[in-house]
Amino acid sequence: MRITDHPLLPALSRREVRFSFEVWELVALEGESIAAALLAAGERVLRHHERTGAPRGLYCGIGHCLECRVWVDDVGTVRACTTRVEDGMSVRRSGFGGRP
Amino acid sequence: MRVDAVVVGGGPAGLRAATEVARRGGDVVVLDENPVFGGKLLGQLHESHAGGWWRGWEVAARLEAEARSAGAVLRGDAGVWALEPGWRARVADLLNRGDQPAAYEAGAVVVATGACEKPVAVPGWTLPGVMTVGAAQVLTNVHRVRPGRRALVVGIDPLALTVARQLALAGVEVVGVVLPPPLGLNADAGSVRATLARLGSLASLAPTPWLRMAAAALESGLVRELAARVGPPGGVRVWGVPVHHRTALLEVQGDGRVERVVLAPVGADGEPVTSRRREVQVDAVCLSGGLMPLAELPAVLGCGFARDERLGGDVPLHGPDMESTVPGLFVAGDVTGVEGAEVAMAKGRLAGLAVCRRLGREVRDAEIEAARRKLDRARQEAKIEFYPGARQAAGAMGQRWREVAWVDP
Amino acid sequence: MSDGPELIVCRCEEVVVREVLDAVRAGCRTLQEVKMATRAGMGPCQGRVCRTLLERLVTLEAAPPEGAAGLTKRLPVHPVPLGQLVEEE
Repeated sequence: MRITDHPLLPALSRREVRFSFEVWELVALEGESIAAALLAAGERVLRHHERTGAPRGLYCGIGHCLECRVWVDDVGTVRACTTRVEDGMSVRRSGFGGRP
Repeated sequence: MRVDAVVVGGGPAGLRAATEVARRGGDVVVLDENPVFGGKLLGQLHESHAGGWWRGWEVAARLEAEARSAGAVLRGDAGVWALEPGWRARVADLLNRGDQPAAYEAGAVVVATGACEKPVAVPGWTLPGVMTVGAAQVLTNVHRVRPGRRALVVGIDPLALTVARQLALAGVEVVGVVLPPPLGLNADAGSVRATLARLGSLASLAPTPWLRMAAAALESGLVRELAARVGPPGGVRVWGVPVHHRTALLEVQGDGRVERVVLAPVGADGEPVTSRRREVQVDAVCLSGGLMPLAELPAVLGCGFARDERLGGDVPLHGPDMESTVPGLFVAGDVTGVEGAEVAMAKGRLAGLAVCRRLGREVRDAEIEAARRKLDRARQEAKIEFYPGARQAAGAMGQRWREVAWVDP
Repeated sequence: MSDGPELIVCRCEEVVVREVLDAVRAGCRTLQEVKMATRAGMGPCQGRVCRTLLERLVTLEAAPPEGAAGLTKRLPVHPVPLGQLVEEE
């Protein structure tokens, strides 16, 4: 899902960062959002609706709708679309069955 | 912390406003919720009318550099959650680091929070994999991650068409651009006729002479009627992507994520012919319902508003120097009406100058006049009006502000 | 899958078209009233996404909702991380 060959966008050289999501250890590229890193790893489900448990993912992408909220250890609830992945971050889904 | 001015929003308007204030020696801080600056510019990639490509991130980098070298302070991961007249801006430290001021006191504030997307409601729209076209643009052009392998774009408007092209450029298989479900809930986004009328106003932007003629022809009501009744079965190819102005999305389906969509042809009356529904496999659906100003802070402060669909909806009333109906609160950029980046920059410059004057710094009338002229010129030169009639609407807005400002000083 | 009356309008609270129309038929004419009756607009996004849809539904079913700003906007304008919310003096 990562774009490596784009006719117009300049290549970015970004170093790898390691983070965990739920039980998985993942690799992301420095500077990308949590949502983008997870999508690149094939993961679209960021949250389960607090009442119905319905799976939810990224919707507005600009920090507006709050659908993408995830839990980051030592930080709290953040919007996956506007928060950058950092080395050593520990991320979990929020909502039903997860952290608030 | 005490500063001269606070700018809420670090997009083109906010950065330009801050640069003006900083250049005249004002102490100004720009606050943005994102970790990086440039706002929506960062993901923009489209062909400019003059030929060549508009690369928004390059424009953003230049604006950011100008603001910093002028002396403006840029702070990211900062959400302004309240503004108090006088002024005080309360700031949420979104990463909970605890090492930055929780509030700024200032003599003036510029709200440059831009626009957000209007929703398109469709059965299944809460499935992971359904997102706005704006989200798709950011994922693709800023983060370099494809929203999916195979995508459907829903909504036929300038932004949707641009994003469809961006997706195709990024190697996503765009199965087509179709209409949203023609529900009252979706206003006229799902209407064949309204869509064609909107497309007619884009004639000058059409990428090929044939399409230019076709789009220009759409300005005629008669031709629109015809177009509403016919359409090539494979859709009209715009930038290599098939646009189906007589096909609507009925439903998004999948088990826990987007797996397929249900489409149906629509008659000229706008009603879907459900007996001819078909399923298409996709893993991403990108919705476009249009843009509207994101003016929550002005609303909470009791600013006067006016509704004009040509500007995107509810717009905070503002005078010729971008001051709202609340003294000391200035507005700039798409929050004052969706008119695009270049107009936003001109508005930001004007607001910045007005803030300087408000702060008691010397600003000659000629400078304000020049900034107003630049704004007029930016409007005239804007090749694309997101909504037809935005220019006239902007003029009408100024008139309304004058009426309100006289009544409620 | 949801369709027609079961179409979700407020994503945060999963309020559907049917519930909103029931509220309007029961007399709700402003977005505040609809919010109180259905929870639509009460969730984390505070109506940012659904406000436009609610307005259209109320308008289609009865009349344009009264009140210029629709859903009452309150502070904080968006959620603030724990421990950072300060009481106004």
